[in-house]
Amino acid sequence: MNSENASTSTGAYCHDNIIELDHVSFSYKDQKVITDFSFVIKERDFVGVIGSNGAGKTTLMKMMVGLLQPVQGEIRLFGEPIRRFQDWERIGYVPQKNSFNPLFPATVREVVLSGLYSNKKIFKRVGRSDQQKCDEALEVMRITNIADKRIGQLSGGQQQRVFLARALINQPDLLILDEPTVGIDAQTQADFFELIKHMHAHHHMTFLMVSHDIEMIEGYLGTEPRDQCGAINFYVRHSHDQDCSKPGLQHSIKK
Amino acid sequence: MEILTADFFQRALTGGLLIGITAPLIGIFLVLRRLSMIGDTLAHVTIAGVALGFLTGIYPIAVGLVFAVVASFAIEKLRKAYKGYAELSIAIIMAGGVALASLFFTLGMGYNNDVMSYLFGSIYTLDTTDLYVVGAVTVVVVIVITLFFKEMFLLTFEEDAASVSGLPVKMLNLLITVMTALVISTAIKIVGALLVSALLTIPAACSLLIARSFKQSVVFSVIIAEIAVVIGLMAAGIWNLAPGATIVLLLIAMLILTLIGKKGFSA
Repeated sequence: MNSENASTSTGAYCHDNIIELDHVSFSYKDQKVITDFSFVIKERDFVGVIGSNGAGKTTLMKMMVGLLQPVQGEIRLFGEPIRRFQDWERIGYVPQKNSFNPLFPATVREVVLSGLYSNKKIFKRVGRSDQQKCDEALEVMRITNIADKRIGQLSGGQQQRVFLARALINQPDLLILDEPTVGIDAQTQADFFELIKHMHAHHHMTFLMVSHDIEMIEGYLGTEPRDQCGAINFYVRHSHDQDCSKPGLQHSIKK
Repeated sequence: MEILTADFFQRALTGGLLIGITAPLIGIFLVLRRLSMIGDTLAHVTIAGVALGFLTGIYPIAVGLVFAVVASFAIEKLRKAYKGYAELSIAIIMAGGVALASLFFTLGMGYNNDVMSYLFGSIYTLDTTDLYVVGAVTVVVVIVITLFFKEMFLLTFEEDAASVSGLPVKMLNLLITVMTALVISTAIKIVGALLVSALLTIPAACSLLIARSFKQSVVFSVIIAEIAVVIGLMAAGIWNLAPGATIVLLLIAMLILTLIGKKGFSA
């Protein structure tokens, strides 16, 4: 495994390993949820994770972002073992829709800004450049007009855009979406998925998305899963057919 | 009216103003994390400590504070053992606190009057030492909240997202719990153990109805608490009432007014 690490760091830029699962097992009490599973997500992959409830999707996702520790095996983020990983601002995270309290008195702006509050931002003030990043993320997601509304007053689709804006504010290299479209009407779901697909095609970003929606996943990622872990299927599509030398969030999302 | 200029009343007012800052400051985080009941629990445990302090002749608030901190650690531990049943750990520790308190009460029959003032609060009991303790706790709480305000916001809004941002979630959780213990153990001498959690939760309950942002809701809850403390203490002084009662009843009155006002506006 070490030799592979060494080779990827000098190899093609588009093919760095973003997430590596190395013989990972997890058990909850006596029940084995994941057994000896290995999987690699490379830069600019779009990985769709499909599985029925109880298949261990959530467990797997939680392990990949360090919320749970595997019983056996190792997980590496950007080549770094997860317990030593520090560059959390490289990861954007869009949670399940119902993971927050809808009565929470936060404004859209406050929520989007909170995407910047990483381990490296502790003891640092939110400055003008941070506000600019926030304005940009709001604009890109077309939610500038609702920036001062309370998050609980918004529709499901709007809330989803807010959380996507929060995840994008750091211009992350890896975007993790945990069932982002649950409880949202079909049209909004389709719009949201279009947006994500567009970002994948035109931006230097890696995607990991857990979903129930097998049609959407298969429509974009093909009908053949690349890998399986118990009842969880992994669909993968790689993309790097676009010149991404121009920096900035705007270029990547607007055509 | 001359009571308002008396030394003991001035001390109570100063202490009350300080607690009027710290209690809602912590309370808003507790309410938003659905831990409103933790205040009650820690208050009951603190009373057990206070009773033990009287029994052993040690400064009661100090013993109460140690009890509250230990209990807050125990709640965190139990919270993990019964994941998803946060209120269970709170109920267990509350029962333990009440049991210990009543045990210590029956062991030391002679000074129950002093203990009573800790149950319902009193404007007569605050001495200079207490004032220094309250002052120190206020300084600590204000500094910690200011330093970690944005991190605590994210932690409260969405604990998983805070983790994925690499924030020291365990440490922040512990900070909130320990600060809660500090605030409660110092507040009970004025408001009383039975009513202290109202000072943590009702200002937050009011401000949640009217605030347009998180920052606003923090500011509003402090303002609401201060109004209730000042008017409540004066009323208690003038008419010789228990300050815990006057403060809490004022808070509830303000909550009802807010509810009516909000309905009036939205209608």
